[in-house]
Amino acid sequence: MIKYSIPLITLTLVLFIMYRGLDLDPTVVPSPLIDKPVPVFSLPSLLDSDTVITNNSFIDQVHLINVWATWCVGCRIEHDFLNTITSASGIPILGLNWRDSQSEALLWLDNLGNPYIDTAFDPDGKVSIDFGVYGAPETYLIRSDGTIAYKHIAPLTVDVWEGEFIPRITDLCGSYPCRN
Amino acid sequence: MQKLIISIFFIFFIQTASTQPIAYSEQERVLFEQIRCLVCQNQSLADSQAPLAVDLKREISLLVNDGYDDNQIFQYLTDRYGDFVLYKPRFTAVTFLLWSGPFIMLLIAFFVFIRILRQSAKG
Repeated sequence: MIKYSIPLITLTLVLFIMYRGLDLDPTVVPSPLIDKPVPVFSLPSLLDSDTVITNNSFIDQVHLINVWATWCVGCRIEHDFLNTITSASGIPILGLNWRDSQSEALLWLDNLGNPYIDTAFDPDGKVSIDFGVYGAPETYLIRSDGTIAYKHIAPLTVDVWEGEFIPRITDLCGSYPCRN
Repeated sequence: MQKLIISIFFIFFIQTASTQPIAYSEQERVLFEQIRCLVCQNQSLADSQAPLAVDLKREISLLVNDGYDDNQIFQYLTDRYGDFVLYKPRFTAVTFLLWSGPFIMLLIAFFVFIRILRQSAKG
């Protein structure tokens, strides 16, 4: 009996691991920044070059950082949803505009609405590298102590928001919508 | 006609001039070969012209100029993008199984083999 059970258990284990592998998405690379503080940065605001946004600008508040660009198709897809949640969630969204032109980015916000409390302008992508950005849109959930709680790559959808974000926000704020 | 030919010549001249590759040092080229472009995952930074790859090459060049050695640059990248960014992941607690798994399997197979040999010798 034991003679046959060992290969059988091994086979089951290998099949299980391979079956799990079918569902893994190799394009989603886990971020080493989770539970670490937001990278130190200092960037001009997209809307007003004289305003400087830093990693401390929205500290003490649970907030989102959303990486976007006008050349990014997924960003256009999620933009309406961002407009919806910015008022409903009670948490501010800081935009991080990645490798973009200022005039086109401003036009985008004029045409599609501006869900952001402010947008940091990163045309050469240097700060985005510090965030480990590799494919916009990316959305980071930031705790009030300035550490990164969660990162989502790909457009935000209702499913992602309800499944991944709302439980975590409820946890961090004690309620949803959040009262910062 | 002559003007046209001259202007066509200049168009080609400008074209080739603007696509001149940036001259990288030997250290940079060897580094770029070992780093994965996360946008197009089966290409190295050296092969990729994706915007992110261009940015990363620029930042790495700056670090090389600042005197960073290879390990410091790998650290810079894995701090931001994780071990996946390196084609040859380093030996850490996380990658322990990845590196030692095959040898552990070989060891297990060896002991199973010995056991079977002993059993068949008995029988």
